[in-house]
Amino acid sequence: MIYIKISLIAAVSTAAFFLSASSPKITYKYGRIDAVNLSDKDKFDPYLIDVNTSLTKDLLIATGVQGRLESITPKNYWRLGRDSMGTWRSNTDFWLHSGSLLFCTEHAQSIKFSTRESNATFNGRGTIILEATKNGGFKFIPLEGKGTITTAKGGTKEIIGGRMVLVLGKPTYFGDAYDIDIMLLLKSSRLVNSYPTSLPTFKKMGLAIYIQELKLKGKYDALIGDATTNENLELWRFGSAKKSNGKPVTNKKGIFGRIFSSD
Amino acid sequence: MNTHISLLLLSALVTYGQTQSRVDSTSRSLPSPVAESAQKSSKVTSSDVESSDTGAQRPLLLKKSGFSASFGYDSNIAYKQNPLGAPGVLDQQADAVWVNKFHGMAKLGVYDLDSSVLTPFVGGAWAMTDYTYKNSNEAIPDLSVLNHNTTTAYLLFLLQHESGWAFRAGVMYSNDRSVESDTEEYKEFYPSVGVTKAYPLSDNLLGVLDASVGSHYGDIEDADGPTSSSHTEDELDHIDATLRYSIIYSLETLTITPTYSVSYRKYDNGFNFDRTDVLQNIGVLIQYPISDSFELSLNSDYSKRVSDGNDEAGDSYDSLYDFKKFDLGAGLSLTASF
Repeated sequence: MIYIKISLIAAVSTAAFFLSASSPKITYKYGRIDAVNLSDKDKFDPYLIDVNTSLTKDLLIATGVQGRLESITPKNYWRLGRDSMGTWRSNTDFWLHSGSLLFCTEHAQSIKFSTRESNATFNGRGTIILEATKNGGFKFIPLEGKGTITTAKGGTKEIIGGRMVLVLGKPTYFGDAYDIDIMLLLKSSRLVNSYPTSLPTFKKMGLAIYIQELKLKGKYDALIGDATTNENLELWRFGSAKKSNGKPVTNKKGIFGRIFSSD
Repeated sequence: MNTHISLLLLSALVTYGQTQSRVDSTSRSLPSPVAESAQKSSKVTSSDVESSDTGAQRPLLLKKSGFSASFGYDSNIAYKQNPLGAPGVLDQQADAVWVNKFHGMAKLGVYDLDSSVLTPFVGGAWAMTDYTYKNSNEAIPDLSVLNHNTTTAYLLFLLQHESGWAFRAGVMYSNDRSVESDTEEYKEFYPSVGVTKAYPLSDNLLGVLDASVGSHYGDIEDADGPTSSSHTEDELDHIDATLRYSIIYSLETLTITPTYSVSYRKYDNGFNFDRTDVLQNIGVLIQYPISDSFELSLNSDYSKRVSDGNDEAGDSYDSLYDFKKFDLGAGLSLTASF
C-alpha cells in the first residue's frame, strides 16, 4: 500500500514537473493582465494574474489597453502586446486570438502558431512578430532568423529577415509576402522596445538591417495595415498613418501584390 | 642670372615634386564601404510614425540578387598650401589643385553566412589632377608640369560580423601618368586588410573606428635618371598601419564628419632604407546632398609628417621628408546606382 502511495506521489510530482516545465511563466508584466480558466466550462470568470503565474494551456490570457507581459524561459522569449488575447498551449505552441505577440529564440526548434482561422509551424530560430488580422489569419514577421514556415495548403517557405508573410485561411495557405523596413519597425515597435530586458538577438537584427540596406532599391510611401479579408489588405499613405480616424488606403491584394510583392 | 636660378629651382622642384608628389600616390587606400554605409544609416529617421505594438510596416523594394553597381563623377577644387609636401614651412608653392574623377563600383552579391555577411566588391577610377594656379611671383610660376592622370582598380572582400565589426581584405592597383610626357611615373599594388566598427554616440552622432594594415609594392620612375645610383624603383615600397577615427554628425540635410588619423610607415628599400614616417591628419568633411545622386561638399584637412632615420650618407630623413600640409576644398559628386 505504501509502495503504491509512493508511486502515485512520484508519478504526480513527475507529471507536475514536466507540465510546469512545458508551461512558461510570466516574468514581467505591466498594466492589467486578466486570465480565464478554460477548463471550467461552466463559468467564464476573468481574474487578475501577476508575475510568476504559469501560463498553462487552460488559461486564456488577455492584456488590457496598456497591459503587456513577458515570459522568459531558458530557450524562449515570449512577449504579448497590449489589447491582445491568447493561450500558451505549451512552451512551443501558442494560439493568438487577437493583438500581437513576439517570439524570440536563439535555439532551433519547432513552434506552432495559430489564430482563429489559421495555423502554421515554424522550424528554426529567430525573432518573430505575429499580428492577428481581422480575417482570422495573422501576419508572420521575422525580424531575423533562419528556418522555415509551413502551412497545410501553402507548403513550406524559407523565412527571410524583414519579409512579412500573410498566413490565411482554413486550411491555411500563404498570402502575399512583403519586404518591410526592419529599421523603422524596430524603432516603432513596443514589443521590441517597451520591455526591461533586451532581446538576445539584437545583433542578428542589425545584420538583417544591413542586408536590407545592401539590397535596397527603394522605399514606398505606404504603411501596411490590417488584412480585413483574405482578399484585402489595408494600406496607409506614409505620414498619415497616425491619423487613425482617416480612411485607410485599401488595395486589392492582387494589385498590391503585383506592385510590391517580393515573391 | 635670375632666369638661370629659376631654371635650376624649377628643375630641382620638378624632380623633387615628381618624387614627393607620390605622397598622395602612396597614401591611397582601399574604400571602406562600411563607413559609407554607416553614414547612410545615420541619415535614416523614424519619420513621423507613431509607435505601436508590432511597429510600422513600411514596404521596401529590394533587389532579388545582391548585385548592384554604381558609376559616378566627382570634381573637387582645393587650395593647397603645400601641394608637393615639401619640407620646412607650411606655405610652399601654394596652388589650386583641381581633381576630376570618374569612378565605378560593382557589388558582386550579398552572402549571408549566418553570423556575418560577405560582400565582394570590384571597382575602379580614373582621375585627372591639374595644378591650375599660375603666379609669376613664385619661384616656379606654373606647376602644371606636374599634372597627371591616375588609374585605380581594386578587388575587395567585406565581411560584416553581427558584433558590428566589419573586416575587409583586398588589393588595389594604381598608376600615375604624366600628362606632359605621357609616361608612367609611378605604379603600385597595395594589398591590405582592415577592420571597421561604427557605433552610435547619440541620435545624431555616429562614431566610426577604422584600422588597417597594408603593404605598398611600387615602381617609381627614377627621377634622377639612369646615372643615379642612390635611387631605386622600389624605394617608395613600405608597409603602413593606420588608425582612423571619425565622428559623423547628421543634421537635417548636412552631414559633418571630422576625422583624425595617424599612420605609421616603414620603408626598407634603396634611398629610403630604414626610414620610418608618422603621418597625422585631421580633417573635416561637410556634405550637402541635393538629391540621392547629387551632392555638394566642403573639405579641409591638415597633415603633418615626421620622418625618422638616416640615409646612406648619414643625413637625417627629417630634413627631406618632414612636412606640414593644409588643404581647403569644395566639390560636387554625381552618382548613378543600379
